[in-house]
Amino acid sequence: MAVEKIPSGTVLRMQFQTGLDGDGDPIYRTKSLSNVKTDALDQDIFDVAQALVQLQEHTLMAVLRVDSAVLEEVV
Amino acid sequence: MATTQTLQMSFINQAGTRTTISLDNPKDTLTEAEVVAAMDQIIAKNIFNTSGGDLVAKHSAQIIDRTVNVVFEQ
Repeated sequence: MAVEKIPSGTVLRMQFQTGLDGDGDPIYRTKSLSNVKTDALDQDIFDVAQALVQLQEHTLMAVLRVDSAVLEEVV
Repeated sequence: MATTQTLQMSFINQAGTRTTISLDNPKDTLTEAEVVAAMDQIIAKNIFNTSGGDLVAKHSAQIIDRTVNVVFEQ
């Protein structure tokens, strides 16, 4: 049976390294911004992440784009 | 006693209501120009969907200091 994939949401996730723990291992923190348009361009999401990163003091490790979708049966 | 700082950037959307994007640990040296530039960039890129439509204008930005005093810990 045919299935249709419908975009349902996109999240911008920024992963920061905030410091080192007692054993010298990195401590990570994640900042998520939901309500990103599902049709937003990767470049635009990346640019917004860069603009936000410059305002704060931690080191950016990664910018993630998390897309969700609903699968529905096509009748 | 631990103090944390949060930068709150307030935007106006198409419906005229306010939407806030907050960011922890803002730089100590943060200037108004830097915050304004980042907010302009966010509006220009227009990647966010709010219940009141696109973000169309800046409203304000503020830094919130939060101090936690532990009364007791087991």
